Amino acid sequence: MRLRFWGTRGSIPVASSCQMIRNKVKQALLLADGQRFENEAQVDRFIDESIHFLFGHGYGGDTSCVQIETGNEFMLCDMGSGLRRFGQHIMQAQDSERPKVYHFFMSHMHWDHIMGFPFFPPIYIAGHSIRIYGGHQTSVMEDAFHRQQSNPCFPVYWNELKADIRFTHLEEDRWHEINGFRIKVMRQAHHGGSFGYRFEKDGKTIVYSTDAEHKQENEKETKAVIDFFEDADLVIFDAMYSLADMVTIKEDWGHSSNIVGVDLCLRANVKHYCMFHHEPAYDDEMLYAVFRETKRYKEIVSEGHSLQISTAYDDMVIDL
Amino acid sequence: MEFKTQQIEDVTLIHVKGRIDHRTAKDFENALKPHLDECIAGDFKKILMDMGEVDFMTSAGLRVLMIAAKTCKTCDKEKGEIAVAALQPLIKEIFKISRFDLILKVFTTVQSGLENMSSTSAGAKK
Repeated sequence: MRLRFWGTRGSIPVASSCQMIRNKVKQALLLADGQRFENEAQVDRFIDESIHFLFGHGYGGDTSCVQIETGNEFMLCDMGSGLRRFGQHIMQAQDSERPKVYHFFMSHMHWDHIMGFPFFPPIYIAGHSIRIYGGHQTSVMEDAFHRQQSNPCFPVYWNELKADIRFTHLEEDRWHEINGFRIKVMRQAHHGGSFGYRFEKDGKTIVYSTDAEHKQENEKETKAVIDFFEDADLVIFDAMYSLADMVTIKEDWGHSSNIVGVDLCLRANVKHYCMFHHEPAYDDEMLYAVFRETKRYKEIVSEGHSLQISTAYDDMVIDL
Repeated sequence: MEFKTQQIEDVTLIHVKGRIDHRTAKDFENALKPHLDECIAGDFKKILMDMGEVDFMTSAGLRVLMIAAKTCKTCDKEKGEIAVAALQPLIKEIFKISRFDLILKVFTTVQSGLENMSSTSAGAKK
């Protein structure tokens, strides 16, 4: 099973500034130090092997969209701006016009999680099937999408879309069978409510839990989260803030912190903790610093338990 | 986790010992509650936590500490205050990682904390 991250940023898409790009180029040239390259392959090898991730790549700036690659039908979590790039990728395939089925699992309907939908070409092509699932009632989901596809938000209205688009409410705290997966839905603390998903297939478990504020003020609620995460191979977690921000000025903003994610994943015996929904104000250097600090925090508190930690970036691939 | 309190002039000095994690966070909260209640009643406005014997702390414990600090500040914006002192190196690192070092006063020693927080020179010398 393979996961591909098309968008990993929280709240609003961000782009590298001219100065940021200039700095990356400068660092790369300094590292090359006059080295000559015979061909592009040598350049690629140099980038992969000799240039730090911060200068050869970066975290990207598209908002939440994660693909679970499996079988003939497509499965994705959320429709942030990263969905636009996924759509481009799909349309470049030779069989792009062939009818396909897309399953979308929505954490919630906030702007940054639905803004990629109008830029997803299959919605304009007859024959494609778009299945949108969520813990919210279908009327709530429909309303959000209809309003986005109307004046003054967007010039192409809902009734002009050609694909077969259907909404399905998934009842929380029970198992659902969709596209060969067992899927459980959990309600999360966020303005208007959000939902996390536990996907199970072929002995592998992925948890997608973004836009959730885990306050840890009530052990019963915390235990429910731990049960939901338990023994997962991968937990994709809203690690938007520092703990200090989360419990002070950004309390009740609906997001969690990097170190709360470590504590919950350790308690739940998770194998791989992936930080997600990055603060838009953070640049690549800051995100990398947070990554190193989070790993260090894990070393201090893990008491020998293993937990792999990563920071999601646009185009990142994880194989399970 | 152990908890011992001393009143030194206008500063309540609380010695904490042991682990503060999800298992003991509630005990930590309960132990702090009477002091916060006194803060609310207007008695003790300054609390210094001697963390010298705290050897393990997670986000669950940090959260309790921050709620206590916010309660103190809410009761008296001018004088209400919680500070920590004598952090062990690893706990100090956790404060830095969580950015708590930016929002809570951290003193190297209990003595320096008392000297800074006490409004009387007598308190500072004890």
